[in-house]
Amino acid sequence: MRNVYVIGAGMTRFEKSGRTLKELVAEAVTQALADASAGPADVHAAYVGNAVAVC
Amino acid sequence: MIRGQVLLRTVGIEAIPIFNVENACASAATAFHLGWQAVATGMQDVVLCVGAEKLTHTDPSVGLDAIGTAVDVEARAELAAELGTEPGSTKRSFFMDIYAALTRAYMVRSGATPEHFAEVVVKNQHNGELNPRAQYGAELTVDAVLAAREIVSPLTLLMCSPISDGAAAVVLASSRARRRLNARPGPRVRGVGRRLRQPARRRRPDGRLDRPAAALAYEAAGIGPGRARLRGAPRRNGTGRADGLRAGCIRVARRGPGADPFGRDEARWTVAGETRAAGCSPRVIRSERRASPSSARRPGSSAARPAPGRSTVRASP
Repeated sequence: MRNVYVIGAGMTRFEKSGRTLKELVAEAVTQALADASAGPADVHAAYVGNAVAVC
Repeated sequence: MIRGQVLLRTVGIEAIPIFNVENACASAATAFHLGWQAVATGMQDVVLCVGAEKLTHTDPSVGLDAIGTAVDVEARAELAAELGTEPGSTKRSFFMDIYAALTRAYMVRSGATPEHFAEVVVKNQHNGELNPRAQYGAELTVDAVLAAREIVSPLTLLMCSPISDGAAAVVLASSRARRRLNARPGPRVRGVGRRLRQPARRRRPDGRLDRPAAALAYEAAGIGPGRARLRGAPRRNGTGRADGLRAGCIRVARRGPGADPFGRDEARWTVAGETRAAGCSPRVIRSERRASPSSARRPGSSAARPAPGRSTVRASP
């Protein structure tokens, strides 16, 4: 097994915001990529967890 | 059906493998687990793991109904009849009936009281205050938690998870990719463990499965619980019942030879503030138990302060 590092993290506020799922994900992912000094093209695979999303 | 693809397209991530993960409350943790696995096994160098949820709706029952489907939906009516409720209530999620029944059974078995569960809420609210993005974080009192509106006895409003919208994301990378991107040295993931819960009807009476999952994580990390410290949850999560019980199960709080088989230790740890974000080391718990096996210290007492220099199961630079 290789070592795995968390190189970036992002998080929105958790609240009853009424914002769309797209807005929430965009904010968290943009932050995480910036934190990692990475761009969208640097990501090789993505895993997206969501259970009920009332859109 | 392709939520991940649709959501990530808005930030310019497309034309790569995108996996949609749905696993109830553990959806984001499962996404993290799979991402870790892909990098650890050498399949990928840089992956993105996202957890996102939106539960608010102009009709509040829509969100509550959605949560209530995290069961065997074909057996929902039967389960509701056993609990003496209806699955389609517009006032609460069906899950609160399930959790309340488990809580009542735990209270009978362990001697825990509603005050103990209220202590968990007070502690979690305190933890929430440490995260500026948490939904709640004001200081609360046990009395205020107990006086809140009852959802299903013994659970009050403040003991139950709130309806919430939010998202979080992490980028995981191999050491080679980290160097290439010149990313700051982030924490290393030492280990991940996961176990499926048994269906409600076949569950052991104590409902515990965190212990084998924790054993897997410790094995993957190559460390034992003696070197681990519990980090607090950033927001209120699930019901208060789960919390102290879990600390015992993952062995951060050690159950010694004289441990109470019915969970009274867990209730006492919670009251003593040992499951707070600042936490305490297993050594403190053990020494306190030796010194005073029956006393329950209040949060903030010197015994509940963290011991410096302990390593953590989540991260090492």
